[in-house]
Amino acid sequence: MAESQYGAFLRFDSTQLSDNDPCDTDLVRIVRNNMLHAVDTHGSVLVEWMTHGVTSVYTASGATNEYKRAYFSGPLLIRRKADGTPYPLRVQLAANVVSGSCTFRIVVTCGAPAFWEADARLNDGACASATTSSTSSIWLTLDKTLIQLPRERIVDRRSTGKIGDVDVTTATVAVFLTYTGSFSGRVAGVYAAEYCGL
Amino acid sequence: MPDIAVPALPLIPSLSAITTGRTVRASTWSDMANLGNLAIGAGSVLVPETVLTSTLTTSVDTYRFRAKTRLAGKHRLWCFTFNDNPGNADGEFEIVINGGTPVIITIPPGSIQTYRILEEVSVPALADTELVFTIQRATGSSALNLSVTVFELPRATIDTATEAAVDVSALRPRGPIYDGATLPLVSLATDVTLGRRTGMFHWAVPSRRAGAPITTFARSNSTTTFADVLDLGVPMLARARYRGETTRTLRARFYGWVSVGTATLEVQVFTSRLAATSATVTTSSTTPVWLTELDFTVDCEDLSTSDGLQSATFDLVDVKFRRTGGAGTAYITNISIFEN
Repeated sequence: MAESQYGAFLRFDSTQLSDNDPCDTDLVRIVRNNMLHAVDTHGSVLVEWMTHGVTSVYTASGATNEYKRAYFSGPLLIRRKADGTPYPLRVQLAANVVSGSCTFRIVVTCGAPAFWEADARLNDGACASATTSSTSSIWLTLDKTLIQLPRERIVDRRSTGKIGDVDVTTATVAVFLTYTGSFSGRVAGVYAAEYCGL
Repeated sequence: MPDIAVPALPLIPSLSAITTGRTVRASTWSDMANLGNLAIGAGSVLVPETVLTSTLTTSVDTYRFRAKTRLAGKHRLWCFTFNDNPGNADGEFEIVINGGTPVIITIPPGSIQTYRILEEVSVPALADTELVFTIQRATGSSALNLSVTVFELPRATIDTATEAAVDVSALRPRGPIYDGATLPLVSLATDVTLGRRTGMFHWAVPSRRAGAPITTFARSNSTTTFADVLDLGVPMLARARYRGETTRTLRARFYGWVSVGTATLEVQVFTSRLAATSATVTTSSTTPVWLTELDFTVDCEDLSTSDGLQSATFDLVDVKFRRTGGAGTAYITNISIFEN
């Protein structure tokens, strides 16, 4: 959740903290609120792409109850809250099927990438799913739009001295396909953005 | 001027330590200063992961983006993720970022690999900046998918002279706090551009091959009727700044041209939740150019909801383009949207 008291910037007259002015505690609370809101809303869009009349990008097909990975992102820069947990991600997924129906599952992992079928079967809250039979691309109605990243591994890379010995935390987003029958589907767009609200 | 450490995590100044009738302690000021330094040095996403759907060939293809780079962005990390098809031969690619030194990458067949390339920025600037890379397949198969993300790396330290860091040492416990010591902090607390979303959406296909304009991958429109550039509108939520705000202005940049100089490429943005059509930007250039910036309005996050959506609905942004005047065809190859 947002750490700032008011969840927004508050306007104030900066000259009130000029030389020789007494420091009002209300003013200090505003400074505190604004600094926290600046850090909160730094939340970034991490993934956003959409196809444009191309039909062959990120397809997968398989047999009953298999999970096949269709899309796999690169490392995504994420930020952490005061308790060390990453901000949750708001996600959305566009897709279509070749025929029949297909369940699409978007999986987010911290550190180690969601690469294997076992990652797709995780039920730890770091995934969202939807089933469709649409043969034209649509934004799916996922069973949830907010994914809380797992907290067991929050720093996966310590960079070299060349770039300042700073901890960089990354996540990856993957999309798996499955269904109770054979399936064939296509990922048409992915959106993932950090969120600091409730 | 001193280099100031950027904390790894936000330190939350205790609210109860800021109470009427009691002196605000140095540690509280220091915590707030650290928050400001974190907001400056936390790193920033310039290009959210975007998929490049064009086929990679033995020619040099140029991809372009625009983003709002920051003063503290001294190092950019470019991450290229290749998804190769099993059975392909090894692929060797040469990538050049912003005219820098070529980097050779080898993709084993059937592999999924991410390659990180670090770009050092000689003069970081707070500016609407063009980011360009070229890619050329030297050997092997072109049958793979490529995606790219670019972010400014978080900083370990920032300086007080050029990057507006707050000198935490001037706010230490049991030392005098001079009134001037808090001024940089106050400056940050009134700077609502801190935490701007420097890159929100990008779409790019090659506009040039071996240096010459190419229309193979461009979206084209020979009619005077607006057509969508993308298959669907893309979700877009700006950050919330002040209380009660429901919308914010974002900036879009487009790269395009027309086949005949008497024609005009016209681009506009439509947002679904607001059901609003933006103004248009145009060019009659017969070679690829960035059009002038287009500012448009989208929903901003509602921080009182579980996912930030207003009325549980994503605001979807459609980019539309057409040819007006004369004859010929209008082409568009790039879209970049960010908070200016």
